[in-house]
This record gives sequence, structure tokens and C-alpha cells, in this order.
Amino acid sequence: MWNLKNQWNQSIFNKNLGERGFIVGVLLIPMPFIVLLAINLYLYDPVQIFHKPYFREITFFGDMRVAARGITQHYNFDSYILGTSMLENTSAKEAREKLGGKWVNISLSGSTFNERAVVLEYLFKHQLPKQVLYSLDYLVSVHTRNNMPIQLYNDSSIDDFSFYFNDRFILCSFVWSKDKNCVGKSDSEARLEDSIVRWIDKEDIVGRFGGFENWVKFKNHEQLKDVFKTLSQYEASSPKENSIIEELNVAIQGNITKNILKFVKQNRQTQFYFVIPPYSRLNYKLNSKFGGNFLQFQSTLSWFVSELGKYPNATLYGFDDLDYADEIANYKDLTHYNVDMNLMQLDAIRDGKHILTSENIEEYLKTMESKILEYNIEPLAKVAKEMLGE
Amino acid sequence: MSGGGGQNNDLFIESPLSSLANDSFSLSNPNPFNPASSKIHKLNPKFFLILGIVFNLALLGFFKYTDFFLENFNAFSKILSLDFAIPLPHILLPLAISFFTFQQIAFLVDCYRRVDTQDLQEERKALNFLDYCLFVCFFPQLIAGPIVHHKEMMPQFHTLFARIGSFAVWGHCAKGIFIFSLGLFKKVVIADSFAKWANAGFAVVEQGGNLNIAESWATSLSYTFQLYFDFSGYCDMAIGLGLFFGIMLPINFNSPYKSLNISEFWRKWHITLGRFLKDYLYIPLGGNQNKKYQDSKFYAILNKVFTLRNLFIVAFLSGIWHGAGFGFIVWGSLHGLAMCVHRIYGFILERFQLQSARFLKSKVYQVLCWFVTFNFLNCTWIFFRSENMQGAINLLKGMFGIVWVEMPQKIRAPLLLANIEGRNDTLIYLALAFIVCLCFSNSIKKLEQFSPNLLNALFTGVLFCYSILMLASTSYTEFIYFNF
Repeated sequence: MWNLKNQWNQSIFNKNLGERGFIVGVLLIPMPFIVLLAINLYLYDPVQIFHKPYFREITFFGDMRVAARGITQHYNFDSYILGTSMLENTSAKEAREKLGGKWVNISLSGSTFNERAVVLEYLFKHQLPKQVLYSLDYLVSVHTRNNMPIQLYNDSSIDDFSFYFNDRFILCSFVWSKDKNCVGKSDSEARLEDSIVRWIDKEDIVGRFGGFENWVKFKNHEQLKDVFKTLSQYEASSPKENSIIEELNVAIQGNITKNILKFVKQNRQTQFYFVIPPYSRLNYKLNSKFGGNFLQFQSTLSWFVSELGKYPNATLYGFDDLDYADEIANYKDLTHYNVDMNLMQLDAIRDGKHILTSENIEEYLKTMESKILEYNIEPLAKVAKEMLGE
Repeated sequence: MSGGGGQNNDLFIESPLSSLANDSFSLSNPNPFNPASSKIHKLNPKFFLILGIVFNLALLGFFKYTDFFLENFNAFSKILSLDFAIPLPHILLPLAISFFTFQQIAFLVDCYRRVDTQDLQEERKALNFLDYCLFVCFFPQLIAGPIVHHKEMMPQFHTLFARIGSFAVWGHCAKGIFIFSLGLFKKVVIADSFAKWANAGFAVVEQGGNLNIAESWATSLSYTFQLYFDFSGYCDMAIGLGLFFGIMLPINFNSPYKSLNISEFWRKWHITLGRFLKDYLYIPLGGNQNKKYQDSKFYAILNKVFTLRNLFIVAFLSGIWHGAGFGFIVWGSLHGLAMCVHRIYGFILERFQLQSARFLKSKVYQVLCWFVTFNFLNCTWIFFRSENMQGAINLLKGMFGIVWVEMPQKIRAPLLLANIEGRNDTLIYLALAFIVCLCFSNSIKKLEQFSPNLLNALFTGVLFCYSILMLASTSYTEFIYFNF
């Protein structure tokens, strides 16, 4: 014990620096360590902000809000699938074969228009993409979200480092870890050819397609648990007021103009393909009593079609006039369709089918509305009621 | 002065001015130091004391509780079918009002009682307005405490200029940067990490959702540690900033989560608030003496009953002081009850002369005491934090399995804590927080043992720089006590 104390007293760490020396030390001693840390983080660069990986295989994070920066900056793609979960299953490989160009899927799960605008802004600032495939989810929503790591997509390169200044990446960089939490999944380069963010093959998802009985099997799933309750209350509920709110229209159109049409207008060399994701008919039927209002949707879609008419570099595709949305077996929940719809969308773009124009939009919306009205919800409501013991 | 968002800084200036007017009256009757006092020295000083206290409390009540009062008045009138529906004014809270109100009341009372006023009178003919303003507005501790007393601040202000240029300035600065870095690290790295999980968990329960048992405990413990590291971090930073100016602020924390009973907890948590409430509320109420009844033949019983009443009132008002909301009322009441239960337990031990029983000194008993105290604190913080009562009750139901949410099949942290965005880090942070709170000495002890050696320079430099780097990479999270 005495020995230890003696050693400590003689140790360099116990050297008295004096008060002034201490203050200077506190401010200066960490500097070399910070510089070394910054150099190490620059070289390690797990998200590929600065360069492609050195001394390790190419990997990407599944969170495309983070990964999109590296993919768009360091890889040689010229066409982008930029949707939400509605386009996450769209195969870049299929797109390449059907539409030409070097496609990659950088869809941001659950993203709003303003979040995707951040990526578009970055993309058009650094290159001239030939084609962009974009899904118009929740068209009448003015909801914005700010989950993007903005520092990765702004003009400043210095604050890019701030993305790495946290315990997770600092600890990972010390050992140049190849763990998926540090650098992303290991087979992601191969999956980039198709879609890194593809979810259709996941274990808990496959089983939910195929029919309503499969939904029942997963009745406690986050995406389904409220559906049965809503279904059981459908009959007893009165229809929601259906009217166009002018103020909302102005807000919706402003949101779309700012976050979508601006890019179409400014980048005439790029071909934009917009798709309206065909949510299940059941979704629209329930919405008539519990959700958004259909007249607003019709009005917004008609306006969007007329706006797109001004730009020869943009086309809109719609699939809600098909019987596809009537079949619950095509859906894992109220909105997410099977991968065959993603293929159908690519086919439509290739073949020039299902295009919505000012000439056919009225007929399209009429067909869609009549299909919603005719949709028979009763058998499903009955099952839901039995299930809930009502 | 930068502070909590949405606070009204302009209003801050009114209170010291008006309070000083009252303070002058109080000191001046009969005040040998104030020549201007001749015209007013015949006025009743008690009147001015009451006026000053009422004015300060009225300001606090107006700014802090108007919305709460009107909201409940509207709800009550609706029940009586009167439905006044008075619109809520949403008054902005003046910066630091809860803190400077207490400091000014203490100042008024001491001037009236003529206790601890030597610091005001020394070599002075009249109260110096600038000194007074500095005492109330001293920015390091202004926004969230510690609640300082003039007897510990004024003498330091008087000698401040005499000390400039002396060698002690560097010593203070070295100590200041040491404890400031500790505080910054506690806030930015530890408290803000816990804040992510606590906020996510409370957001779920406040919106009517339920969490599984692991998420519920992780949420409540995260908040328990967030609050501690946030507030004690702030106080360390305040002490550090004070030291840069050569001013030593009072200690506000003394390892409170090591407490073995609720009474000890309140002697160690937010010490300056406890000191204020003891000196200016508990003792004036009678404290544990209640001499008003000493002539009664039932004095022994009456004294015990009134001591319990006094304890409850102090804890209850402490709850209300923290904010306008039923959560704070419940939190204060529970702490009041706990103080009473603890005191009754003491009475019982005393009655049966068990204070020196062997079991009460055993390790097992002490661990049991700590376990009960810590869990009581952990559960009551839920009411303190939750924005609505439903959230607090939902979280408690989840913690004790009253509402059982299915657990994932694979017991892995990210799945188990999915609703609070928890990962393995959550468990590691919780384990480390327990170790730090229970096994290490606190920052004040570290400051006392401070020596400007190389190891401390390295340690301080790493904490400081790491905290600054974290600050640069995360979004701004306000100090919790800015809201009070």
C-alpha cells in the first residue's frame, strides 16, 4: 500500500502544474487527441460521408436517411427510386432492365415530402439525375417531420463530423469495428443492386399477406391492432363530413409545390415518375367514417395532374381504378401492398400505361369512388366483431 | 442572460426594484444606516414586511399559476353548468422568478428580524442597490439555483474587488474549470442520454399507451437519473462559473440517492431549497418545537401532531413551488406523507426505545432502507415528470404489471425496449448511473480534494472536450429546472 502511494507521489500524473498550468493544460492537452480522433473518424467513415470504405468491405446502413448521402455521393448511379415504404420493395435491378439507366433505391421509410426534399436538394446540387421515381403518399397531408440528419445534406462539410461525435461511432472507430451497428449490414453492397431497404421477405411480414384470416393471426401486431376495433365500430358510426376545406387546400398545394414541383420545374433534364400508392379499398372505406376526406383527395389529385401538365419531364401513374385494391390478400395491412404492385408500377412506366392526365383524371376518380362505395365491408366487420367478442 | 425558452426577461427587473423599496423600509426602522429613513421610520415595519412578501408571492402566483387556476375554474364551472370558459392568458414566465422570489423573501424577513444582516450593514450607511441587484441577479445561479442567501453572498461581493489580481484568482479559476467540466459532462453526456429514453417512454404513456414492464422501469429510472444529473450538473456548472468570478456558491447536492430515508434525502437533494423552506416556513410554523402549545398538558402529543402537520405543509408547498399542475401536487403530497410516516416511525422507535437496536445498525437493514427510499423516489418522480395524470398512472401500472403488455419472444434490449428507443446502451447507462450515484463521492468532495496535477488536467480536459463535441452533435435540451 505504501509502495503504491509512493509510486503515485513520484508519478508524472501527480506532477503539480500550478493553477495557471492546470488551466492551460485543460484547454491544450486534449487537442492532439481530438485531432487524432478526427483523423481516425475520417478514415473509418462508417456512413461514407467522406469516401468509400478504406480497408473494409462496402456496407450500408438500413436507415436510408443516413445511407442516402454516401450512396448518392460516391456511387455511380444516375436514376433514383425515392419513395417511402411504398417503394422500398421496388427493385433497382428490375428498373434498370425495364427503364434503362443506373437505378438505385434510396426510399426513406415513413418519410414526409419535406424530408425527401432534403435528399432531392442535395442530389440536384451534386449531379444531374436522369430519372427519379417518387411515391405520393398521403397526398392530402400537410404533416412535416424533421428526422433527417440535416448536417449530412447541407453545404457545410465541417459539421459532417458532428454526425460522428457520439459514443457509438467514437467507440466503433477505436477498433475499426465491422459490426453492423457500427458500419451497417455486410451483404448490403450486393443488395444495393436490388434494394437495401426491401422489407417484403421479412419473417413477420410474409405471413400477413394472403387474406384477412392472416391478419387475424397477427391481430396484436402494431400495424393491425387498431384495424379490428375500427372495423367492429364501422356500422355504428356515422359518415365523416366530406367537404373541401379551402385553407387546407392552400396548405397542401404549398407543401407539394415547395417540396416536389419545385424540383420538377428546376430540373427539366430529369424525368420524374410519380406514382399514387394504391392503398387498400378497405382503407378508403374506413376513412369515409374515421379518416381523411375523399373530396379533398380528389381535388388535390386533380390539381396535381393539371400542374404536372405544365412539365413534359413528369408523369403521374395511378392504379386505384384496378381491382387490385379490392383484394385484401394483396395487403399486409391497410396500406402496404405486395411486391407485384411494385413490378406493375415499373411495367406501367415502361409501357406508358396507367398515366393520369387532365383528360382522364375525372373518369379515374369516378371509378375509384364507385369502387370504394361498392366495397363490401360487412364480412370483415363481422369477423372483427366476433374476434372482439361483441 | 439566456434561459429557458419562452421566458419573459423584461419582467425580471421589476421585482428587485420593488423588493428593494420594501427592503429599505424594513431596514430603516429605526435604521441608523439610512439617512432617508427619518420620514418613514415611524411606519410599522411588519406592514412593509407583509407587503413585500405578498407582493413577491403575488407576482409568483400571477405568472406561474394563473393558467392552472383558470383552467380548473373553467372545468369546475362546467360541472356546475355555468361554463364561464375564460380564455387562458398563457402568460410568459419571467426568467428565474421561482428562485429570486425566495431569495428576496429571505432578504426581507432577515431585515425585519435583524438576523444575519451584518453583511448588509458593514461599513455602510445605506443599502447599496448595486450589491442588492448583484445578489438577486448573479447569473451563474440565477436561472435554476442554488437558492443563495445574502449572508453567504454579500460578504463575498464586498471583498470581490480587493481580491482581483491576487494569486487566489487563478486557484478559483482552476477549481472553476474543474467543476464546470464535471457539470457539463453530467448534463450533456449523461442527463441528455437518459432524456431520450425518458421522453420517449413518457410520450407513449401520456398519449394513453402502455409499455411493457421492462420499458416502464427503464423509463422511470431514466427520468430519475436524468433529473439528478441534469440538476446537479447545472449546480456544478453554476459553482464553476461562480468560481471564475471568485464567488463560492453553496452546495446543493450531497449524493442524495445514497439516502436511507426520505428525511435524509431532503437534507441532501436541492439543499438550498430545503434550507429556505426550513428557515422561512417550517420553523415559523413551529418546526418540531411548537412552543405555542408548550403550556398545554397535552403538549407532548400536540407537538408531535403539529410537527407532522408542519412537515406535510412544507413538502406539499415544495411540490406546488415546482409548478402548476396536479402532478406536482401529488408529488408534494406523497413526499409530505412519506416525511410524516418516517417521523411516526421515529416516534415509535423512540417510544419503545429501539433506536439503538442491533438490527437497525445492520447492513441488511440499511440496504432495505435504501431500497425502499430509492424506489419511493423513483415512483414519485413519475408524477413530477408526467404531463398528465393518465401518463403517470399508465406508467406505474406498467411497472407493477397491473397492465401487462406482451414481451417480445427474444429477450434482447432493442426488442425489449423498442417503444422507448432503448438499446444495449440503455442498460449500460442505467448500470453505470447506479454505480456512479452509489459508489463514488460527489463533485463537491472532488472539488475539496482538488489538486492541479496532470491527471486532473487530463481528466478535466477529456470531460470538457468530450462534452463540447457532444454538444455540437446533439440538439439543444433545456435544463429541467429552467421550467421552475
